[in-house]
Amino acid sequence: MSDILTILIASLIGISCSILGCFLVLRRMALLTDAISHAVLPGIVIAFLLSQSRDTFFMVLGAGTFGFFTSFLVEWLQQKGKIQADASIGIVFTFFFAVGIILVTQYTQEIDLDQECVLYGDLLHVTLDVWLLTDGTNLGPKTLWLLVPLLLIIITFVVIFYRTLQIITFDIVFAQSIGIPVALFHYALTALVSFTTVTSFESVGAILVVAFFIIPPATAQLLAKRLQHMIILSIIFSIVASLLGYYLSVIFNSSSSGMIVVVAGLLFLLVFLLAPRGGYFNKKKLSHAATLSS
Amino acid sequence: MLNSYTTLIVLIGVILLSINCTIIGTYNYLQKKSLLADVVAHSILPGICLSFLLTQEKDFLWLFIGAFITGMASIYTIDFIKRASFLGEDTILGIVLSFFFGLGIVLLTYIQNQGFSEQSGLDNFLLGRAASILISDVKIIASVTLILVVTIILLGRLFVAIAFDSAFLSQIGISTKLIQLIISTLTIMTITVGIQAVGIVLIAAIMIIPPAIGRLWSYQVSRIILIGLLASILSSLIGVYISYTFPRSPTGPWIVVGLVGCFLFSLLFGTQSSLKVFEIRKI
Amino acid sequence: MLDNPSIVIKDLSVSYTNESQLAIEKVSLEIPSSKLVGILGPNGAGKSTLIKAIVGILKPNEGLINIVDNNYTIAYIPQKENIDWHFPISVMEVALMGTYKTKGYFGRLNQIDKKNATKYLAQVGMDAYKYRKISDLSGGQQQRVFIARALLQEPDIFLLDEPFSGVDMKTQALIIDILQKLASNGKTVIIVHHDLQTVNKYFDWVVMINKQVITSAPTKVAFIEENIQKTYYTFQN
Repeated sequence: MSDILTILIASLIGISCSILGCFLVLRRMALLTDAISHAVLPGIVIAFLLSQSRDTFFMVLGAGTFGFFTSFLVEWLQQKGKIQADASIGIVFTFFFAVGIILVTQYTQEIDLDQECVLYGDLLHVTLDVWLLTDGTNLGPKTLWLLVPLLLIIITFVVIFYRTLQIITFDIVFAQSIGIPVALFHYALTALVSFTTVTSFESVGAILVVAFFIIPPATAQLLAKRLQHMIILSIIFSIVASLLGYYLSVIFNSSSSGMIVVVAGLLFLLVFLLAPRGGYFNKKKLSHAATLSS
Repeated sequence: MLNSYTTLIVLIGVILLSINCTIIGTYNYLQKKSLLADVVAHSILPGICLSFLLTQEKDFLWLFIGAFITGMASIYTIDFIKRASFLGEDTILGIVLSFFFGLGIVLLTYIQNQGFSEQSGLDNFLLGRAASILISDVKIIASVTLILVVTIILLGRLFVAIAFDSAFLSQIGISTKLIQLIISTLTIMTITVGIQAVGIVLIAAIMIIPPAIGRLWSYQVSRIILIGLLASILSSLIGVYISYTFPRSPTGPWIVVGLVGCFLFSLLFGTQSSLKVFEIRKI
Repeated sequence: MLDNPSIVIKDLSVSYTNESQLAIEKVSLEIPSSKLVGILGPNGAGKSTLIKAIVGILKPNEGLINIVDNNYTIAYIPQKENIDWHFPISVMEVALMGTYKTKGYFGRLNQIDKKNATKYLAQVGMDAYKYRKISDLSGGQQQRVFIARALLQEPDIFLLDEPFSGVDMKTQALIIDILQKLASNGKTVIIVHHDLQTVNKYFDWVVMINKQVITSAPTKVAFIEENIQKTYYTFQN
């Protein structure tokens, strides 16, 4: 039973991340997830210190705010501070992460947050952390109660605004020209990415969550001809990675989130080498298309 | 505080480490490859774990060889995917970083669950423990400093040229690939000797932030390095001092906080900053 | 003073995105309708800024842009270079983006929209490619799809930002032919242009700018050596 629950949790995280990840990858914003995932750490600790509880609601709110703030800061440094793009991301996320580590070590007794958990999470631990009512009723892992609504929100958002998101992601200047409030959608996307990162934090950690956002969508983009196909393919890839990765991690007695990422990476490699259109071994076709378009 | 011999060792180690990071970080920064250092830092974890698995000991040479192999592998993977696909560079960096780190975590947790007697301390590579710097480590760090300084004196001009005019280099018959390989090797060397003290995530900060600080004051490479060095040495002092005074506080993160302090100061007052609060007149 | 200008611009100053420096300064212009209008000037002269301000993407620091007829709608064709052409999307889907403004967030596409899209794709000779992925097309074909998307918006004013860069001469001729027809039907067509060789052939009217307006007049009057010198070889402060 707990096997299935762990795979379910990993898959739900994978699906949420992949859907959002498609837009991030296509808009060349992939590294924003890296920045946000590191920045949620101080948010989690500060929320804990302010609310004096490990109430998940406060954690999500605190960390979400920090994640959101990060994307602001990166943009601000780039645009107003004229700092090179790579450096501004690097400065912001390492700083927040450093502050997070200082806080975690400082309050390690008060807040039960393992330093290593910060980096690569613990899916098994999260699966066992169930919600018990006072009369002893077991409502299952607490994370599920966050992951399911979050996924529903993401799906609703993407389905309702599918065309809008498609236009913004494909051609942002055109989107502006027909009056789409581009900034508003950008912030909505950033907010969803932040909340997803926080919700996945304890399960897969700050660094590996980046893989969940980026690798399946990038794999899917190598194959897909349409945006909706890319989203569906990336969902499939993330479920396959969760399933295979979990069983391999049991066999090799090692971190399941790490193994899921390794499997996702190998799937990427496979598609990258063998894809019928963009694949490495069919590169001739690609270069042919390139000469056509130039 | 300098009465304590071990603290002195730690202080010297951390300062030399910051010097290494700042010097090589500047050349990566000039090529707009700051985040590459971050990817490499994450990618040496599986190499370190692999060489531990094979040798069952934490001998520096073997760990370095392992780190070098996976670090280089990550750089070449990035190049390979970039040349052969239409994916954005940010996406490729993200894929390679998280894949290698995931692999490292798998190996690390595997080692931990096997219960090897020698394995304790491997997890120091994740978040770093400056207090664990020994005199033998300082010697290794210092030799890297020496290698860096000598290489920069000999080849510094080429390292700058590759950032601004690599076409010119190939024109006069210098292999840009070779120069790039030297820079990559030095980067991996710096990171490998450094992560035990400050950890995988934060070592990138000491490579990225000092050149960004230097750039806010000057556009000359030599001055960027000098100002970067000033900031990183100052931050190292702050980091070691704070963790000496409050033993629970880790050194690495405080160095980063110090660096960001210097960065904010430079953002406000730096002569090249677009946000400077007042103009300093040239006399 | 023109008899029937479609756009009147007065003392317009606009700064670059996220900067305080002005890209164009005190620009005053009248743009005629029913003519092919070329906007010329060196790199950094503020050509793109000017048309982005007309579309409403950039807010003016000062000055006025007056679209003479309030009911006029604008279609804008951005620079091809800013697009990731490996985006997974079909030719048809790109063209159908032209219906978005009338449909809004929640409007669903119907058969009429698809018929219209096919019609306009046929007009630019791209209907045979409508289910192809956009990355399969050549640069000139991609530009034609963008024109079809603009046509589907059925606007009165067309603004094109460097539509001919990286486009072969044959496709250029085809696009100019379509645009000329639009102009003779009373539409306003404004094109940011780079290639001085083709100016005489393509445009009825040219606006030459370098931060400020050098001239705005019929091509024969405006496109002369003196003005070219002034626009391209004089440093503006």
